[in-house]
Amino acid sequence: MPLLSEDDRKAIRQHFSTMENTVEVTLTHSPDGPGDSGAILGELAGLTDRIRLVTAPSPETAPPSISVGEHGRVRFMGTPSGYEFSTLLTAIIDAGRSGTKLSPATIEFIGGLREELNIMVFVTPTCPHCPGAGVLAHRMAAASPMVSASVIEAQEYPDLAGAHRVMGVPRTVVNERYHAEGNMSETVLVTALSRAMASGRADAFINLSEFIS
Amino acid sequence: MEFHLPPDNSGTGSVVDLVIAGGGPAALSAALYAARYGLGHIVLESWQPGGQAALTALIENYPGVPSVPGAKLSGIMRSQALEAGARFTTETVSSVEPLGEGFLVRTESASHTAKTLIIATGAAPAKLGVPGEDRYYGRGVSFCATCDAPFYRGRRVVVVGGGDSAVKEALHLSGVASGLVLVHRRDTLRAEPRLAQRLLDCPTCEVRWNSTLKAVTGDEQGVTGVDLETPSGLEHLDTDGVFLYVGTKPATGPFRGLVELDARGAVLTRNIVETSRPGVYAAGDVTSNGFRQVVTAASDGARAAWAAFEYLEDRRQN
Ligand SMILES: Cc1cc2nc3c(=O)[nH]c(=O)nc-3n(C[C@H](O)[C@H](O)[C@H](O)COP(=O)(O)OP(=O)(O)OC[C@H]3O[C@@H](n4cnc5c(N)ncnc54)[C@H](O)[C@@H]3O)c2cc1C
Repeated sequence: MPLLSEDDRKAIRQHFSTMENTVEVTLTHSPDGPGDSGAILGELAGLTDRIRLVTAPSPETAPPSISVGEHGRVRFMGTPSGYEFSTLLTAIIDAGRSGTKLSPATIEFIGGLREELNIMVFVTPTCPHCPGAGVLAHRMAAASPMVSASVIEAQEYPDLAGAHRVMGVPRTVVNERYHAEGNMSETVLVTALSRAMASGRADAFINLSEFIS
Repeated sequence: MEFHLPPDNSGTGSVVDLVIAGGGPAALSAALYAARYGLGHIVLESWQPGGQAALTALIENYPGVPSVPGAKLSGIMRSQALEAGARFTTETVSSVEPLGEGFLVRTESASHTAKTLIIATGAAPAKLGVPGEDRYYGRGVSFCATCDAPFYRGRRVVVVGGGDSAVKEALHLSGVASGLVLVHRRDTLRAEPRLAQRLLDCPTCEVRWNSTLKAVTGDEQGVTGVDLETPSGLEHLDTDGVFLYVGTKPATGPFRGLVELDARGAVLTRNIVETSRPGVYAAGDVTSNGFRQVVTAASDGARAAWAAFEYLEDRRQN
């Protein structure tokens, strides 16, 4: 029995038909096997010849992780179900198209970066606000070798979520220091982040909401 | 396992008869009708597929669909609109300017020119404005039980509010939390009697009547308690989370100056969907219309699309 319904498959084929390039998608999984993530990715790869699926077994017992694109900067940690499925699909479709959906102001910010950005976005599959935050981080990572982004399913990574005190989603954490709660718009997040980075503040935790005018 | 599909991302701008701003039940219904009327249209929706309807685990009062997760109901509405030929793009409307014959609708990444506009941008949760509310947002203060309930398994939560959303989401949270206190400023719940009774019967739930939240308290890790004003004086309650359902704020920022708003900031309507400006219609929770439900938003959306169609037909004939 396939996981995706016939209606979903039809809609996904339609999305995939806009891809111009082949995208490498790598699934890293524990010795227990590729599990639901493997099944979902297998079904997606069966709907287009634009996905090259690579499976990488790992000796570590950790939940699955997925990386989109050969550069490895766009990552997804956990099973891509619920709203997280749409985040993964968007990352794949974006990678298969040329250009970027980011605004000119965001491109300028990324272009001027002098330190690398490592973005983590914590999410749950039942959170309709989450894809907005996850997709923005992924798009920033896809646009520049200075940025990498992981969308993390908080319940499957309780230790990581606990270490970052996640009690609500989406929670965006940049370079382990700057954090943003909720789904901020692209303009608001990028403006607040650039102001916070320029402020030279050295606190261990900086809430980006302090930098929204 | 549930799978939600991504919205579409064309985002290159367009020239159309009708722009529909929003992505909740009102916009989805307007899109279905606009597509069936053959109107050249585009739906501009920000990244919150399904709107507020998607923020609730179960909807039991949408006619024809006995009991359905909110996200699923809006997913069905979207598929039906797509099937009819509706066109969506993920863009947040930032401003609208009247042009000679229509409107210039600007988003973060593109511009659209339209002869008519339907405002269906709904509403966002209102804040209380008490100390600690902003500071602990995301660290114990939440406006979304479906998103954040998993973090409160076996923990204590406080829910503030007494309307349908507060009571429904309290019932959802009571399924995971070890104990729940509903704080309500009146002496009876405003929620549907059927929902209210379920809450009063819930063995792990308590209600603090005639009480208001004065402050959210916490430490470096997050929320640890709340201060309440109750009929017997100030009370401190220990809690791990606070969920706020104290009303909503209409999402009318981009339309200020374009159409008349009421004191709450909602689009003032006449005949349900007409605004102060010809060619601009409004539907659903963004309007001053009294009752705010999925069924009323869907109904307004249909009326607004019809009104836009009639307006365009009149112009074509004259
Ligand atoms: C927790 C909760 C439980 C509920 N339970 C029920 C229930 O059981 N039954 C019931 O009938 N109703 C229920 N409701 C109410 C119901 O969800 C709303 O009445 C309904 O969703 C309103 O629909 P709408 O389309 O008018 O607005 P919304 O649902 O608010 O949708 C508005 C949409 O517009 C988008 N948007 C906002 N600004 C912009 C912009 N500038 N540009 C583009 N897009 C924008 C938003 O992202 C959103 O997707 C509940 C609400 C909540 C919060």
